[in-house]
Amino acid sequence: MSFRFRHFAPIMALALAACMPAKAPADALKAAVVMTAEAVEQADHVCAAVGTQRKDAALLTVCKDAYNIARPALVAAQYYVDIGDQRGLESSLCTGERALQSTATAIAATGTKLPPLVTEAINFAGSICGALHA
Amino acid sequence: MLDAIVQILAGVLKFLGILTGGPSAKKVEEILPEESESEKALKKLNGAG
Repeated sequence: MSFRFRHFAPIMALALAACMPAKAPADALKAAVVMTAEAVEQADHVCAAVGTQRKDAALLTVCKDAYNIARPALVAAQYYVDIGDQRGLESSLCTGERALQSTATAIAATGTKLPPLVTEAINFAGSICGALHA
Repeated sequence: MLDAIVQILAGVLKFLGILTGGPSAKKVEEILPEESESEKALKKLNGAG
């Protein structure tokens, strides 16, 4: 998948979700969950690399703890999408998004550039959370 | 009209590989292993320390 296409799809899904605050479409929600999970995976790899290089146990601990919150939350979010439970989805997806945000903040505090997918997933999932909460 | 737009966008997303169609197509468990890389790195760091 080209760089342009990879970034086009989430933007389309985000625009779609933004247009439908009362009930986001299931496909956009699935995309948000999968995208957030991929972003968590990327952020975890970056954190492990930076933490190892800097011998930064505090950073690694923040990332480990955030991952251990994000993973079960996103597993639950995917389940809630499948059964159409929007309330459960809102809670779990937003928990995953906040955990990703805390990892991203810890990485950024070291002066390390975040992968674009991480930033996009935070924006995307954050918008979905906002739409679901409205 | 809105349904048609949703279907078209879903088709675009599927084409681009963001969506794979079924509820069990791409699992979070497959993307995220139980033990994170940061946890492995932390164990190594503590072991080395």
